[in-house]
Amino acid sequence: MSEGRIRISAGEALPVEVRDRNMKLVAGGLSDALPSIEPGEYFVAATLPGDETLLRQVVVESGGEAEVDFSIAVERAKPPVVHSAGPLFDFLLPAELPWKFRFVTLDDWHAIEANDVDFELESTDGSGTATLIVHNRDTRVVFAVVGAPHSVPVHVALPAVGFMDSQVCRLVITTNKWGPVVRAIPLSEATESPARYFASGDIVSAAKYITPEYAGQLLAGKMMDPLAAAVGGYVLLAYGDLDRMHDWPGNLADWFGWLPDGTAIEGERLARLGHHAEALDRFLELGQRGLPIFTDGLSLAASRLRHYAGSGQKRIHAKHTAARALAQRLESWLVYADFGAFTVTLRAADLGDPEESQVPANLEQPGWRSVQEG
Amino acid sequence: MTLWEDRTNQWPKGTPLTHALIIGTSAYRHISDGPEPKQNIDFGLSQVTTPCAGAFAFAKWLRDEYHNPESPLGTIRLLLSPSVVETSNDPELAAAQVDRALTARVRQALFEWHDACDGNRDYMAMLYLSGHGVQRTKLDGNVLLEDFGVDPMVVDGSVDVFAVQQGMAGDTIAQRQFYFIDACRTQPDEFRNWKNLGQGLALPETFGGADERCAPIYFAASPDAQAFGRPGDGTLFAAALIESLRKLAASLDDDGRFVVSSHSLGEALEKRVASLAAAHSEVQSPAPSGLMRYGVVHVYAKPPEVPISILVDPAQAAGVSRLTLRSYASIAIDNEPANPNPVERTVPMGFYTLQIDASAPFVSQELPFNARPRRDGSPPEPQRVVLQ
Repeated sequence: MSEGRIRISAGEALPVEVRDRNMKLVAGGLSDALPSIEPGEYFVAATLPGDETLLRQVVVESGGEAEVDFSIAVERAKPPVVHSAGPLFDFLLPAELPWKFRFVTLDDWHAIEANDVDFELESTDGSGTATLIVHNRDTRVVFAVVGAPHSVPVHVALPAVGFMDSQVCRLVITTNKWGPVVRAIPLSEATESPARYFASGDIVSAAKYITPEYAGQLLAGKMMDPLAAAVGGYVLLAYGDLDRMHDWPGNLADWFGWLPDGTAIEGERLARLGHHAEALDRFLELGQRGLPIFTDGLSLAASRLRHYAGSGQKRIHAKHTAARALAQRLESWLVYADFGAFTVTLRAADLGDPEESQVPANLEQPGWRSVQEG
Repeated sequence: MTLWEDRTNQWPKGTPLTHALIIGTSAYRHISDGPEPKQNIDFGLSQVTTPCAGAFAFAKWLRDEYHNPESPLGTIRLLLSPSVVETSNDPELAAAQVDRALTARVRQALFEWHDACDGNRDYMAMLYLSGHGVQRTKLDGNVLLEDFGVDPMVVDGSVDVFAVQQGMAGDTIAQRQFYFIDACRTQPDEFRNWKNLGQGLALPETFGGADERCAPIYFAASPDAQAFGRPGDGTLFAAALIESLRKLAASLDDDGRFVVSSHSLGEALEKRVASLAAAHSEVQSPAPSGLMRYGVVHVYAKPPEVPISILVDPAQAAGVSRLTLRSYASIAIDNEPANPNPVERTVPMGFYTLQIDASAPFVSQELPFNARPRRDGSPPEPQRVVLQ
């Protein structure tokens, strides 16, 4: 008896599991790449970012193709968006938004203005959440700064950089008792899905996107997208699958000198393999490259550097002063960092000196832009 | 006595066992409001009333409910420095014959726990630490012990989580390790300036090979322990952890068993702690990190019971319909009348077929039904079935 297939329509690739009547796993992976299976009756379960699952029952016949349509459910599960087309703008007008924005980058660890960035309001909803689309044409790592009256501004690293395929990301802004809460979400096709699962804590589903071919493709030719490769690297580090990383984190670090995350990922991979002296060299490169874009990169680098600073290993000990100095430097950002955020996010008025700038910003000063001025 | 539970003799020699070390500190002897205050830096901390209760609750769950055929419970080492509020609330905690969480004893307990976990890669290790603390990154932090501040090298009276986790690497040691760090994320000025205030307890790091452990660290990441626990009744993190282990983190493994995995536990902790904090109008974001390779923490002896809700729509259809919910193993709802309100039941977790037998003019339906817990512990949304 020949095997059959399950064809899943979802509008996008989804992490799915196929289980038999005893709930044993028969196949798993992305919905557009399921293997053929023995004829029989199966459950097909898909997980959506957050905490929702979809379930269908199918009968796979010998040589046949069973169809499952998740597309309506997937579309329904997406967050509602009210587009900013004037009259449809239900809840907050742009002029009513309480926030102002500016964009900065670190130059030799000092914050300077990044001017080649603009933004537009995508939507608001009834709970006071606003979503912005940010276009970063700057070729450096840029932080959006979100200021509100009487609260310390929030800096959030943008997962978008000028000279790569994905220059666009989304900012989601809400407010709590300490002021604005900001999250940055990648928008490139290759990054968005794994990032959404990873940010929601679902590492298993995120890892299903990082196939052995994935990162290699992202670093080559037309698909060049080093930020997506960085997301893949962090997912695999979190998932603990060093085998799937091969040597591409080294390439990511070497080929994209402007991206601090490449060195953080490669450093952590080397540390997990027990190559601590080489790992330390990689982490020390951050002294020239600056703050990683992603929270995991900053966290991994600071932990390892602090650990190496106190290490008695001979090859590491020779560099322990440098490790200690850089760890101290990174720690001055980490103290204010929001560990729950996907990209580096912290409260400070001056990105270059968070410790001395835990004060509200003067939003009337030049540089601050409202949504209308985006 | 540190060894609170010892079942090693109950299992045949060579059985891969689970060894836990649980340390809770609510009473701080040498800080300014303690019984023996010193003039050393104390980060402005004060006594707390929740960490010990949380640690003890987790110890009791492990003793009474933990089930894992691949690595049954071997030992629980327990060190507690409770507050008066906690011992008054819980007679069993008050009566517990355990060592206090003093630096010298914790240091010894760490070595004993390390040795207990060594010798078999299939062993499982658990470390639960609660008390005042500082979390520097998603990966590391220090948890302060009862005699913190006894001399000017104040951080000597703490456990360095990352250094302990690194010291637990090795070829012959348990390859499944779970770290629960229920400590507030204070960031004292002295730590910001990173002055030399001593070093937390660590384990010797002797391993230089590839580290392929499943060794996640689940940090509570609470900015203020006082605000995020119920005095005398444990922390929100401990409550969320036990709820997650009992039900909320239940998932299916490849063999179709109901288990709590390193991944499902991380998801449930993030969501449940956040929802408990939100119920107190607070924000708390646990940060699972470390080596998050897949590993099974807990295996359910039978599928956990989960609440479900089914709503037949429109109301006229509900009036002429009957529901049957069956799996291949059992029938959870047997031909019961639907009604205009949601039908709510508690059923064993699993995949079901929901059959709605309707009278004319409505058409009967059959559809798959997934009975599963919501990770954040919220009640189930009614599954709405629209009959044509």
